Amino acid sequence: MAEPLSFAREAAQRAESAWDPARIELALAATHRGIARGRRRRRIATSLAAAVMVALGLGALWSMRDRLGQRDEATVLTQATDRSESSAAGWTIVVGASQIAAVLEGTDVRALPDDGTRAGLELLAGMIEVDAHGLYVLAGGRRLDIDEARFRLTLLPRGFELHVLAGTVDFGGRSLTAGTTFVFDPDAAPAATAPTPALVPPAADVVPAPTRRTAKPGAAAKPLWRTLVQSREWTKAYDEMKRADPSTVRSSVDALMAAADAARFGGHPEEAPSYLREVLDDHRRHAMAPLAAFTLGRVYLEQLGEPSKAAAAFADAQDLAPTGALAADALAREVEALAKAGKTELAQQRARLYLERHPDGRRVAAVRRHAGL
Amino acid sequence: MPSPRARLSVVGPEGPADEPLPEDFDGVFRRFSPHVARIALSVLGAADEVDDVVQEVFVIAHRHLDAVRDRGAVRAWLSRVTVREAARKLRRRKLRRILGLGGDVADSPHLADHGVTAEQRAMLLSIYRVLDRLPTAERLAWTLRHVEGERLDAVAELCSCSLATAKRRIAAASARIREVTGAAIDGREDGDG
Repeated sequence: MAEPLSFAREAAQRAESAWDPARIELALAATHRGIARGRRRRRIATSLAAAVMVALGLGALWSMRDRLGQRDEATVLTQATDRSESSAAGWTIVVGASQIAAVLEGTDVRALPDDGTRAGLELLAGMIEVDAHGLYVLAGGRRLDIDEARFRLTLLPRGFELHVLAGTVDFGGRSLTAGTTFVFDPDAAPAATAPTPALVPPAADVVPAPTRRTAKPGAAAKPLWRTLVQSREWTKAYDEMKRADPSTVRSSVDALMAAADAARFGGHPEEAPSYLREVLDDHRRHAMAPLAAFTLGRVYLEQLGEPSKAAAAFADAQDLAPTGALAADALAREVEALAKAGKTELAQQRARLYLERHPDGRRVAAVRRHAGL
Repeated sequence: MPSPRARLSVVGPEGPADEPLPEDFDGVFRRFSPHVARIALSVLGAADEVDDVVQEVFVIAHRHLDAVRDRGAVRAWLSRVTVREAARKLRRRKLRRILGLGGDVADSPHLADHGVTAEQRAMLLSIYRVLDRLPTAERLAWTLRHVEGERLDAVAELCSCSLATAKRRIAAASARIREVTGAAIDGREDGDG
């Protein structure tokens, strides 16, 4: 029997036709009522969650008051005024349970492998404000460990400046508490001469490859180019990556992201898209995929001057994580890219969507400006 | 009737001009709710939960449809959500039956009520009774293939599984239907007709 159930298909077609305009309007009204019910439930849930957060926040404040008494004066270089104003520029991303917001234009970070207890992040340029919950941060080649804290971190030509807003940041065996501003200069600070243990844990999925350095027997050696990426020696990292076994470049998502960093900061931004696209094509469900798409958009927009491709990449970042922390900034950057690509109508359409979704968003002014609204 | 390929194909970035933009929720509802209802009815067999599925699909759409990039992709996106929601209904129905709380669709308004002959109606009802006892994944794949008439690759996409898995599920369901009802509804699992 070639089409044994064609009559069933025709019955389904008749059932579809039975949805006349009157029935559709009734169903639409019922659906709007369902949507309103869902909103009410979400509002109640949000209120409850806010109440719990306020209670937890009061508890945390109480706890921090106790910690203030334990401040190590030796590490305090200056007492800063409160700088807890909200970030005025840039993007916000989530790494593990922590939220990172760019404070200055041009700020750049990259995610690092989880060390088993903490998510990881490296500050590559600019200033970030971090609400950290189990995080380690690399800055100026040094590692900061944070259980629970809010702080601002600025990368300096040599070293970094850290301002702790709340909680405690551990660095070089010291605990920097709320209100502390700490400037680390590797040439001046004693900490600079102190040996720093492994800054970044080896990614579990990195294929060990022989390097020029002697590794301890049994130890999983990281390719030299990735070590150079960690130390932000971009040009050397890029050159070494080109000499390295190609399997070390494509061995994992972390390796691909590192390769993209080496290319975009090592003077070869035109090569970065291939690594980022590989993340998107082969590891689309990986947690780093939205960041890969967002980074791809930035490379196209800021380094390669290809706004159409940038717009597509920013759109992809939204598709990958429609409710993720990058979604709002990706939408805003998409508006910018579309405007620069001359697609004014589409830019305005996406801009209106941004303004509807994020009426108080950080990029409202930029979105209006780019879309001409 | 449009071909199955036409139903799931993704058109250009702008999409057909007569289809509503993803942002136009009411327009999307008016355009696609009959399509959603049709898939739900084909998968569920009974009509009593179709309205629920339509509402649930569009409540989800209201929150997430903006993520769909072009109007040409709206129909396929809604199809996937519909299949997922219908599968949830089937699993709940199965649980109700296990708990002795009903779930038998024989007495409900049925797909078989829509203008088929008495013989065809009896055949459809017997098939859906077998389907009610099959694993949900097999039922989904089979109904999408044989009732909705989807291509194998579209079945795999709608069921979020590989092509080989889709074929295996369809074949398993066909074998069970043949065994119980004697109806030979197979022979297309390996093709793409």
